[in-house]
Amino acid sequence: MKKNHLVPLLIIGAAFFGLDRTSLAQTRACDALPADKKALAQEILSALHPYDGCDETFARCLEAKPPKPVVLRLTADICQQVKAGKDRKQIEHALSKRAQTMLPTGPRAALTLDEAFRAGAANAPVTVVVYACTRCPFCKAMVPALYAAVTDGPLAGKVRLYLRPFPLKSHPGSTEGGLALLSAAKLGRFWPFTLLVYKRFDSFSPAALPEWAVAAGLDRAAFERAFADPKTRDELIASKQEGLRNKVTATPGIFIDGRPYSYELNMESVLDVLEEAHDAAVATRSQ
Amino acid sequence: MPGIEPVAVRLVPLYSLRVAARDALLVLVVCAGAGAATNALRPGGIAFVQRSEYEILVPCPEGSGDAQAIPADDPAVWDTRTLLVDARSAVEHQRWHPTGSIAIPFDYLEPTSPEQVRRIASSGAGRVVVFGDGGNPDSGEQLAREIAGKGIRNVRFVAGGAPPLERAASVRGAQ
Repeated sequence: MKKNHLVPLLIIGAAFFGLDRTSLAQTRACDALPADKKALAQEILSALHPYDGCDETFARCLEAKPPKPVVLRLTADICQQVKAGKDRKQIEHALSKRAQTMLPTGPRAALTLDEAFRAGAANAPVTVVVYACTRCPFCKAMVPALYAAVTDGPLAGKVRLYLRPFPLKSHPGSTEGGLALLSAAKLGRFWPFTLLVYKRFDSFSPAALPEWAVAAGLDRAAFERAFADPKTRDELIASKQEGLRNKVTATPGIFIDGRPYSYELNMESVLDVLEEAHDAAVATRSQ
Repeated sequence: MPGIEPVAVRLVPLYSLRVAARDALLVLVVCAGAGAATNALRPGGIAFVQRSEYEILVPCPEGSGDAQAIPADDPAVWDTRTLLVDARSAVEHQRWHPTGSIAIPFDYLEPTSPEQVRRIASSGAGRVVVFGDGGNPDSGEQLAREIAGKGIRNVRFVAGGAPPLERAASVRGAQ
């Protein structure tokens, strides 16, 4: 009796563990999806068409030898979304948003590309512009990550990044933060200062900005003069007005080669789309 | 009660609490051990201690509400129940403004003060029509969206801003 009751307990425990093991399956390729999700991925791939690279369904496009890189990239993205628990309708919607980001439809946004705000190689084929607020937690995560990617990461030489201050009224200190970024740009230390501002995000205070400027290699007096200059404020207003003209309603507001980024707002997706934009730009150049 | 016999109910434990606790612990250890072993063996196993910051990221919105455009010659603009709000600078307001309009110069960087929002809210107007410089972006549209986002209802902005409003005012004056 005592031994017998252990059996159902162990079966229940094993069942729970089995469920857990399934949910923990983590691989990037479609092949590694669990059976139920693999079936959903197959269903989606047999029905949907990639917006570029091939006119057939994904399933047919994948039969090509070799498949187009963009087809492989989008297939991997679909499987990632299946793995994340999205249903077919959500994935279809996400794919259309990605297409809106990538396909050259409608006029391109008019963006100021000031070299003082550039990171990455000047001749990189893809240009990404980010409207950012110094007090936006999302920008705090995304801007340094994008900087690292374009300067010393997978997008080095492929993408050049420009930042445009877009102070949000709902964030206290955002105006001072924006003025400080422009002041650092005038003094030629935009990126070291910007990265420091995001690094010290949680201890931000307008009073600390001159000290942070010194820590970023700036002359304190010159920084304070630039900060107090009414022209700097006018430039900040102009930067914000430019963002509003380009329909920026939230930060980070991302533009890839003049087209608004309307796909998933997470680093993995942004980097993947930028890689795709680079592949497309290279392919266009080589034609 | 007649016809109903009281029944003594006695719970009979299947096994003792001590044995149950032991078994539960055994199941826990077996499952945890198997889970930890699988996690250790598979590529990219989950770290027991998070090494980097979790990305819980939500875009930061500007915090504006919905406001629709209205033509300068729309009768609703000139209705007595309408509060006209001038979003232009004080200098421009001095140069010309419709009778009865109030000046709340729009600032692209600083939020409209709570006092100004209260001033609009306490006006008792059934409709708020904002007009600005008519530029791109239009300060009137921006102010209209901002105050709508702060809870003011039935907010419109004049399409094209002050220039068409001034023309409409002169036409009405001539009539």
